[in-house]
Amino acid sequence: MKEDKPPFAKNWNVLYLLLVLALAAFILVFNFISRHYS
Amino acid sequence: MSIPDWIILVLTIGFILLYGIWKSRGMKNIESFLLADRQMPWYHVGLSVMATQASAITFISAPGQAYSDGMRFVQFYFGLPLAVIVLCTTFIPIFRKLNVFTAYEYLENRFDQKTRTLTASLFLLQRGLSTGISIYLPSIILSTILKMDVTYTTFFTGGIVIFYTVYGGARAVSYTQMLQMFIIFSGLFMAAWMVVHLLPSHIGLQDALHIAGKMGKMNAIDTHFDLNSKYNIWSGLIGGFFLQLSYFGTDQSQVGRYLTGRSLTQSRLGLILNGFIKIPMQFFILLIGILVFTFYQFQTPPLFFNANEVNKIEHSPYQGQWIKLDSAYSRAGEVKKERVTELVSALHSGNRGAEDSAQARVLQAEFVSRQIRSQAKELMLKNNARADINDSNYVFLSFVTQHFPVGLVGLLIAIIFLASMGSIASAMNSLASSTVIDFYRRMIRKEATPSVYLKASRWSTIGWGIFCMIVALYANKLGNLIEAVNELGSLFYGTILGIFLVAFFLKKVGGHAVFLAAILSEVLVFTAVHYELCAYLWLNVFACLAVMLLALLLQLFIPKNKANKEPRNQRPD
Repeated sequence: MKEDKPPFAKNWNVLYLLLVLALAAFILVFNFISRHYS
Repeated sequence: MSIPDWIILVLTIGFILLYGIWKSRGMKNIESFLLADRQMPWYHVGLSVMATQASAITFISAPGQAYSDGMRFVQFYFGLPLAVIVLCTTFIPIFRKLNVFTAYEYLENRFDQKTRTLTASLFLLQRGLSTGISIYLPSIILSTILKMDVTYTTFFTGGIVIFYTVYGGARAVSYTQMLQMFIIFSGLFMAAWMVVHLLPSHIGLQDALHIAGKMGKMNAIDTHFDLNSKYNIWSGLIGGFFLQLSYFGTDQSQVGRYLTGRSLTQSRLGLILNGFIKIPMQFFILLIGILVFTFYQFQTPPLFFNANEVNKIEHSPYQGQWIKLDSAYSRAGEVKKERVTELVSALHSGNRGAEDSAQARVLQAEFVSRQIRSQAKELMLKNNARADINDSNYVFLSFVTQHFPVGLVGLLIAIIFLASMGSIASAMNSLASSTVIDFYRRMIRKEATPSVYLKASRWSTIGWGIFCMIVALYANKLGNLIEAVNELGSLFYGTILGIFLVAFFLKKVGGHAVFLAAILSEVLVFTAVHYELCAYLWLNVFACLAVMLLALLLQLFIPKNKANKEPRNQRPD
């Protein structure tokens, strides 16, 4: 397939890595909020 | 609702519907009707995928869920970003390469017709029932504001969605969904701002969150592993991963959305957009529910949020007892308000001991209020054994209609309605796709002109619309609807996902083995549900693994049937 490059990154793996990092960040932030407000 | 609210409601919904119908004119074949000619850019795909998942249930039930159960529901979405990665690397490239209309077409290619038919049937059953539940919610909204029986409002809501989906097809769905998502996001921000604004002047956002936290509602992360706990980080990451993978990878209502993408890249980017936005969006919606909870600590909430049920008991022989409970609840509310105010002072003083004792007093007051509410529910059941005693779906709606200013009420109701229209229309379009492609074109009329299939798609949409309306009439027994829909999905998603994963990764397994494994796995799922062996998210994991393991095992004893090795409908790209 000719169209296999994402427009915003070098390759798809960069976007997948960003997704995983975003998930980790959400969990850490939510964990902080849970603890801070309990 | 006031007249300005009605004007805003009718204008907003009318404008969106006309826009969708105008954008979808000139359709001649099922490629247009079912997949919008596969011409959509990534942001259309992404917003359409989000709007399909975000029904009225998301905006009405989710705040109610947070109000009664706290923030822990957000963990349900943790598997989504991981599922998106697997979808982008495996599912989407295969579906696009084979140029399929429905995900189930691929299964005949890989296995045989019976496996395709079984999987499509499981999908139709599950999606038909879920869509019925989705129609129920906008119907109760209308029934609440019009004070009309929910049966009539169900027919009215169902009728509008059927007309719009039959006329406009996937293109109307996709175009209006993009506009809807913009309106929905702005509505959500307005609702959040309004809730904070309605809090007493001495209570800021920080205080509101502290109060909710001290009352056990800020439980966004639970790291304790427990198979029977509905939401913890493990069930969210593992069970949620399997559920989301199955939902986005094998449920035609979603596959149909990203197959509208102009290219593989556009489809992938659309899903990745969803992977980034979904969790914070859901957190934000739940947070609105938490703020509503805090608001009701300073103003006594209604004894029961479902006004229709209250109306029934107020006109029954139990009226006297109800009035007594209602005034006891108001008094308990006043006591709680004083104690919450003391808690805020303790929080501001920074004295840990004072904080703890104030917290204990608030929790005790909360316990008294809860006891009175339980007595009220018992009384409702005494009056009518079929009374709907779960009012969490009505919490946010009741709050909006009673406390929001004129104009904003109409706009928010319009938003909730639009969210339902988008997701119900998508679901009906997908039900029609699968019925026509996997059954009608495959088994009844193999060769016909495009207009015949287009006509069949429209009739099929009408048929499913009527089925969903009938289901909606029976949906009042299901408790909180956002949970009910996901619990229902979990009965079938694991098995469907298992079939697809066998197709992708276990090349040695043939049609007979996977077909039998899928049936056995469904038997196991229903046994597990009957004996309450685990929380529902885990069913997705166990059923999927059961299909894969059983298929491998059965393949040792069953000769492999001759599968069609060459992919059909190869795409030019």
